[in-house]
Amino acid sequence: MTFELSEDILEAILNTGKETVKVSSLGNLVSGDTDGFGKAVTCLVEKGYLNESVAGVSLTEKGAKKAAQVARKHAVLTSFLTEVLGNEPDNASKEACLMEHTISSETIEKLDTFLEERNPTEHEGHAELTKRSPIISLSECPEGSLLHVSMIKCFAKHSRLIDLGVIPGELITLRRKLANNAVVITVKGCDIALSPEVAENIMVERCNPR
Amino acid sequence: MKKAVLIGNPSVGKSLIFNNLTGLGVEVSNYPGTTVGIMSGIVRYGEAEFSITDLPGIYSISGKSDEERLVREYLVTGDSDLIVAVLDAKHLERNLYLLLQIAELRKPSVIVLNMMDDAKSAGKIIDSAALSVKFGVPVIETIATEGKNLEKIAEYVLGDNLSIPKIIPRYDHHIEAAAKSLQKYHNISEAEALFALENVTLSTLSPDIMESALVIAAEIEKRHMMSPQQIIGANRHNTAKSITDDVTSIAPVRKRRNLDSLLTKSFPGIPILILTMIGILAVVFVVGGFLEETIIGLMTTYISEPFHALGLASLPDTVGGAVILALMSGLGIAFPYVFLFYLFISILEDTGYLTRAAFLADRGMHHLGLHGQGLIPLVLSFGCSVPAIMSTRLLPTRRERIIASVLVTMLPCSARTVVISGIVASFIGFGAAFSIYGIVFMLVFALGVVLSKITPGEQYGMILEMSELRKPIPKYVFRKAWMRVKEFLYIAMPLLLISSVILGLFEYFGLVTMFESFIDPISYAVLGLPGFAFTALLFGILRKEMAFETLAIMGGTTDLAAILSSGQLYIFALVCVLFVPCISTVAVLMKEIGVKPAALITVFTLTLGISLGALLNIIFMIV
Repeated sequence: MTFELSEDILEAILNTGKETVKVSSLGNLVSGDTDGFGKAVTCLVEKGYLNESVAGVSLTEKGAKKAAQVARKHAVLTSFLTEVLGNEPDNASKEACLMEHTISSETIEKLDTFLEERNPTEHEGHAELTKRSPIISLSECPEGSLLHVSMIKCFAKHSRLIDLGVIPGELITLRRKLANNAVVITVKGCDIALSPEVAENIMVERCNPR
Repeated sequence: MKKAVLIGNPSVGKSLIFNNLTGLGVEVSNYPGTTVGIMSGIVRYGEAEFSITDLPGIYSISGKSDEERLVREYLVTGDSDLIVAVLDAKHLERNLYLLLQIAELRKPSVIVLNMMDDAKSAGKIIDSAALSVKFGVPVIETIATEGKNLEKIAEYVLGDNLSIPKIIPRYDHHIEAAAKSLQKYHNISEAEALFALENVTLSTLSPDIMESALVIAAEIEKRHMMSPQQIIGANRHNTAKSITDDVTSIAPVRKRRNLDSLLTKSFPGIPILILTMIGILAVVFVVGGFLEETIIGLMTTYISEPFHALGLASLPDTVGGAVILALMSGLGIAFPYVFLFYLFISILEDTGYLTRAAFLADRGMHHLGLHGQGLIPLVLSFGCSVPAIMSTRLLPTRRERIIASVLVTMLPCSARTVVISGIVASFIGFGAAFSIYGIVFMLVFALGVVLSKITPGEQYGMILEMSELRKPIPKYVFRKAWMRVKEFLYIAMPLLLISSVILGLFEYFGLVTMFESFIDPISYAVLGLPGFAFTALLFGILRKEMAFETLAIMGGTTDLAAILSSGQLYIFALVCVLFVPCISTVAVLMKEIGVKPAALITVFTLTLGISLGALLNIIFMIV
């Protein structure tokens, strides 16, 4: 239970859209089982997902990444349940809450592609964090943004990107951007420097909390 | 004797492990047909011995670069008994990607989890036993910088039961089906089938197989809207991720200060970069110049002069003198310049600063058809062309290596600076000296722009992993610089000796005087220089500043203004700076980029130098 609870907590903090959230107010945001809630928060702080301060808790970079992943799974599942299976939105959301913890990233990507192919025009946003953000090139994003890779253009020219883990579905952070759009990104814990012409071929969605 | 081979991502500590295991018994060998260096050495452990080979660091064995092709062929067709896969424990997930590919080759392997200390301080606790169970091969935890547990690698290589990895990564079912049918029809291994699907060439894959794989691949691509290469890559990354999640637990860490907020920003990053480069150049100029004078001075007093004082017959005296001269030239460059430069470059490399410098320089380098990494050879070339050309190995494509080598050969090295300052600055003036620099820089820039258009080969943007910032370990810095000096001496010494002796003999048999009277009218007509000045230029091929010294000797005076006009001196200096790289540079060019391009560069610079000289001569005559 703790594992799912901690994912829920991260997701809830992300959904508030605030930098710092009071621990007391978190209790109301997380639905379902709240047993061991405090314990889960402490555990998250220990594992480096949350920063704890006097004002409350905030997501670390790692935490934000995890939260974005979970939120995305939630959104894709909800829209699958409502759009394809025709479930009631409320129930769909609840069920998505249960499934989001166990479904693999690979399946989610496939499900998302499936939804998009099925109805490309109407499929405009399951929720906050999915396809609602426009797909833009990496060079257009500001420094510090957390990004979800959606596609790599002229892929054959940049096959080294796959080797380094820059693949569709991967979450990356834009660490540094120079005036000429040369960038440094963080992928799988490693910093990678890219020339402007490489960066502009990487298509991404922003998934920072707004 | 057993053969082990080291493989891993760049900068995971392979070479450190290699050097530690082989100790001083390192042999430098070049793999036939490529310019990529493969190091082999013998490890003596107790009574037993085995050979170990260090392959270039790569991220994947299914890539298209020279290094990747080389490693792939070596692993698939080579006769190694054991693959030692070195992993950076801190970045386990990324490193597992390559490990999965290696595991699929189904060859005896062992996993070395290096940098366990770094992983620990980053709060990552890796259950190596669990990792070992997953792959079905042993895992050895090491800290190469401290030499910790490296003997266990030797023990394992020499042991009797080597195990073959048994992990089976799961692929998309279309890929798996395609691989199965390729395996069945063409009787190839699974790994080979996957290579074929990824459209990766391998000597064991016939054009037939590649063709049928291509057809299947196109089919899959249509279905998935993604190439098999991308699908296979994504599947491997997913497997790597789930393995990493299973074997790693996270401990809390203290957040450390991140210097990158200073180093990779335009400000103050670029000023820091410029200061660092100028600082290194200045130190090498001053200290290197001093050391060179000392070495040459000492060798003159204690070897050259006593030798000539022996009063040998004139032929042995000439030959012996020529050998001493060659030794002086070689050592006079090697220690002061090559060693000092490499000392600094090793420090920059080991701290991880070099990758940041490359990132910042990327923009400027684009104009010259190079990327960020091209900064290093260009900076080095102000000291000495030889280490600069050796450093073009850092560049990812052959195209960039050639462009950089050409530009490096043109840029004024410290010896040419001696010529410029000794002749032009002292006898004509500072303005004239700077104008020579100006001419050379303009030529280099124009040449870079042209070369970037005409050099064959595809242009890839820079995709460069930033190494972690860390403290360099003096022992390793010195060792690296020392190995490079040795390499330089191996390459340059034989040629220096031969050419010096030949020139000495020519002089002895009066050929030089004959040449002088033959060349005098031509030299005078084309360059406006007397024959002896042209001969001095030829001596410059041995070592550039020798042109200056020889000119003084042949002219019989150090007051060059008394024997040549300012115009002549200017032409002399410009031609000397541009034409024909010195013999050591030619040697290293031949080794690094091949005989033909080296010959082309030599002919090109010769033509360029002479024609510019001739042009100037005409201009001076008109004015």
